[in-house]
Amino acid sequence: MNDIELSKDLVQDVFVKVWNNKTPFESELAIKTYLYRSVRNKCFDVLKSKDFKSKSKLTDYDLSVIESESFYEKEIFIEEVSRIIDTAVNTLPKKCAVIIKLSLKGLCNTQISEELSVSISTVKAQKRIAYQKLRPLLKQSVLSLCFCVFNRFFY
Amino acid sequence: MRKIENIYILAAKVAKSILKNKKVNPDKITELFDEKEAVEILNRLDTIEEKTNRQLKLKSLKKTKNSDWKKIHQQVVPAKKTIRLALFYKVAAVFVGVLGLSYFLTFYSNNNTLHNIATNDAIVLKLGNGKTQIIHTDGSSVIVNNSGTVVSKQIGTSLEYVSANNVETLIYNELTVPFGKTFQVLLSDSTMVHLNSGTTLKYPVKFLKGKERLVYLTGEAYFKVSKDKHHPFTVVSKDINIRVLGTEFNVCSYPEDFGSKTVLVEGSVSLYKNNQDYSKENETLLVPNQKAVWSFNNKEFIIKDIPDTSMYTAWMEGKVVFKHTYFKNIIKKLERHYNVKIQNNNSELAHKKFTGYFDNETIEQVLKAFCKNYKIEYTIKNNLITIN
Repeated sequence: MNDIELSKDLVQDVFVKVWNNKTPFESELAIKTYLYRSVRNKCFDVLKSKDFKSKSKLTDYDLSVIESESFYEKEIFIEEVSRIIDTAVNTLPKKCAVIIKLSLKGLCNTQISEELSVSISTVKAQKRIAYQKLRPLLKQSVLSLCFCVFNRFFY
Repeated sequence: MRKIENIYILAAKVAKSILKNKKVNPDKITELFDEKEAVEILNRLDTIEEKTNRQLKLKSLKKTKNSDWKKIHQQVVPAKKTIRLALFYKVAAVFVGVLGLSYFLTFYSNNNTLHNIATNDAIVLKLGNGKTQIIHTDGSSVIVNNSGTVVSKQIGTSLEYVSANNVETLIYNELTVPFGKTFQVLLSDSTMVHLNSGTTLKYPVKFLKGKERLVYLTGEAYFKVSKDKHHPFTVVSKDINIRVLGTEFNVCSYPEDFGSKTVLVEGSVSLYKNNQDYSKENETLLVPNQKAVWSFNNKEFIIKDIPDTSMYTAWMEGKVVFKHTYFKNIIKKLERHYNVKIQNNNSELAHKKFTGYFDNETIEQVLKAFCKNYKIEYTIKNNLITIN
């Protein structure tokens, strides 16, 4: 939609509605999926409204592409990956986070050490700390997911 | 397994590889996406432009984060209040529990004929995962399953199951209607069920293809079964099963009664004992305007012709109807309908038969009506009515 204020309003609407309705969910996973879906639907309400159509340059073809299920799934996938990386990095101590961020940008250890003007061994040590801290976090996220999905078979 | 769940799992794994600076294996991604999409995904996760763009967006969101949450806070039910209320309820629940226990003990010690009473005043829905949810008939709600799909919607006194959900395992929900209330459910095969007071119905969220449609009933319900020749619909109740293909009938099977009654309004139904498998030899067939009375003691059916079935279905319009019925049985009906406890100490009265119907009268008016015909004395104390 390319309009951060409008997007914020939409998300808020969905959130408030779900909260006030006291919708029961079986798991956190269900909430996430439901919220993703609701926000998406809400967006299309706006995108398809006459008001918005007259202003935007979106063609019907564009709309049909972004309305497809595969587009939605692809976007969710990218969002999920980026979100996990962001939260993971944000849990790290500042020094670690800076190095990991550079490393994620594709810089090798030497380049990072030059960029931050620290020694290579510092970079390596910080990276090691970072991986140690991230390991339980990541393990947990994959495990809890599998558990959630696995659980469903019993119900 | 649903695709969306696979996406979450894969996303977590890919994020892990990226953080470890390992190369993401494109084959993994093509398990869920086609090649063109996989290329785009990998590109977008890798390009600096995309990342900085995201960081900028996140930063701008962070700036107004607090004020945005405040905005939301104003629109939702105040949290502080609910916490205090939750505490209040906890304390209240313990208090009521202690009170209830002491009451029950004193009540039980001088009264041996106490029967099961639905203590809860709310309509309760037990979900497949064992969680329970209270249904407020003055509001609406939706039930969402693990994968985020809406399985049913409740508006007022009815609950509708959506048939288009992609549930592929048998998941049972259980609905309990307390004394004094009635409710309606539209099952996923568009079978309509009216539930009378003090009734529990257990049914699958979605009936599976190729499998018999099975539901479990305790209490009274009126079924309007949608026609489906290939999937027989069976109501499992105390001692007997009622098997149909598509008809309308009323089942009244309260364990505290002497037996159960099945009244056929339209189509045909066959009844057979729970401990037998269904076969043409051991079924008892009903035609419209017939009722089958099953005695819990004698374990046999008595088939009777009835000229008018409306007497058996009148409860759906909120009426209490009885014809040549023993007073002791009328009491049970009244208890369920009005959510009261009636203690009758008059054994002569218990074996008198009455005929009558009540519509929107209060329980006091009902008792007065009995007074007119038969001299009885009664006292009402909260929800307990004692007849001497």
